[in-house]
Amino acid sequence: MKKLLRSSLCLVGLSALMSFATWQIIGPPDRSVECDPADLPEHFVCLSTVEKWPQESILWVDARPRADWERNGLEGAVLLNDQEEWFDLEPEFMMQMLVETRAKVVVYCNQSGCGSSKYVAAQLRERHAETLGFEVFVLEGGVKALKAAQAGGVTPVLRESN
Amino acid sequence: MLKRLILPLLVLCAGPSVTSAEMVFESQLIEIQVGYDENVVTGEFPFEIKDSEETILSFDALCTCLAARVEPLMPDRSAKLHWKPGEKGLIKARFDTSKFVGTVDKAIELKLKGREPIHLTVRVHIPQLIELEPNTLKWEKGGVTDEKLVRIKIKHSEPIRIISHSATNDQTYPYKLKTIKEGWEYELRVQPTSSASSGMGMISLRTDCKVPKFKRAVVYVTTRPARKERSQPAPAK
Repeated sequence: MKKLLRSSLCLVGLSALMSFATWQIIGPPDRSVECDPADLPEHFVCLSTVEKWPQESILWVDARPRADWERNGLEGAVLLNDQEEWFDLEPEFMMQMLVETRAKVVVYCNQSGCGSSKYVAAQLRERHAETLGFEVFVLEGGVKALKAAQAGGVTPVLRESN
Repeated sequence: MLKRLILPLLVLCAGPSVTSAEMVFESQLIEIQVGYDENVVTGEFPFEIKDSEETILSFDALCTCLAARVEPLMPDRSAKLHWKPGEKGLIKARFDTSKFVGTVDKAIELKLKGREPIHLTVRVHIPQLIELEPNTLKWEKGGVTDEKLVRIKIKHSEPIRIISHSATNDQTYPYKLKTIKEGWEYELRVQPTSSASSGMGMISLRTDCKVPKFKRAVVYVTTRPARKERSQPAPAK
């Protein structure tokens, strides 16, 4: 039993040493959210695609609960979610679209499966996209993708990483 | 030395592995047509345990509007987390639809020991009773200030009357609400007084609908500069 324990400890130590060496040589692990545009459902978009668009043409919409948006929403992102009264939040979105004409709206929530971003995007598409002439997308990976990009030093910037 | 290392290596490798699911669901997506006045609907995902035991680590609804539970419950009313082959149960989803209209997907994330998370999706279809065509009226900055029209139609078995209306910025965007057929059809006509500068206004309509989410409808009016460049094509799917 002692031998087993000793050997196990030895293996754990070796693994830790190798991990540290790998970190030093190659760098930190890649935490980016995997996203292949070819595999995405309709109206979804990868962050890597969004990053190629002119940033001034994009309006970001945060579909998470208000507390999350306040804590670490994207700089300049408008709050529009399915937890609060739609008509209480929508005017701010409209105001932002008025202040600067944007061709694209990108909606994110906590993760792809949260559903809020899909709902908000669908509402915006149905209610305003045609008249105001913008396209609406759901960000694949949600805020996780944004955090990973921020960790890699890529824009856009979250107010506060956690 | 190598022999000493083999046994611990095997122990490490024999840890949790991700294999095909043994908790087999009849379907991982259920669709529910919701009545206009229904605020809560319940969906069920029946499952059966095949071949090997399963342990539920967590079952979380990815929205505050959704509550999940595993049935049947244990005698002490707690969730049954350990399941044996041949046992049957269901994941029950209770969806508060009071704030939604249209098609909505919400998911439950089920985590099982040693397996990839399973996502169970409840898709509800909720009718829109008040149709505005369009929701937004737009004029170009410096352009013609022609009159534009919003058609308001009630898509319900009973009439819904507009009982009051108000507007922000009605100095720039004066409007007239005309009843075509009381409780069923209305017209809203807006003609801005000027298009010299960008602006925006909201026209709020209050109705006598008993369902709170249909008590209010909003039309936006806006004057914006003409788009210099059209939107680029959507990224490759």
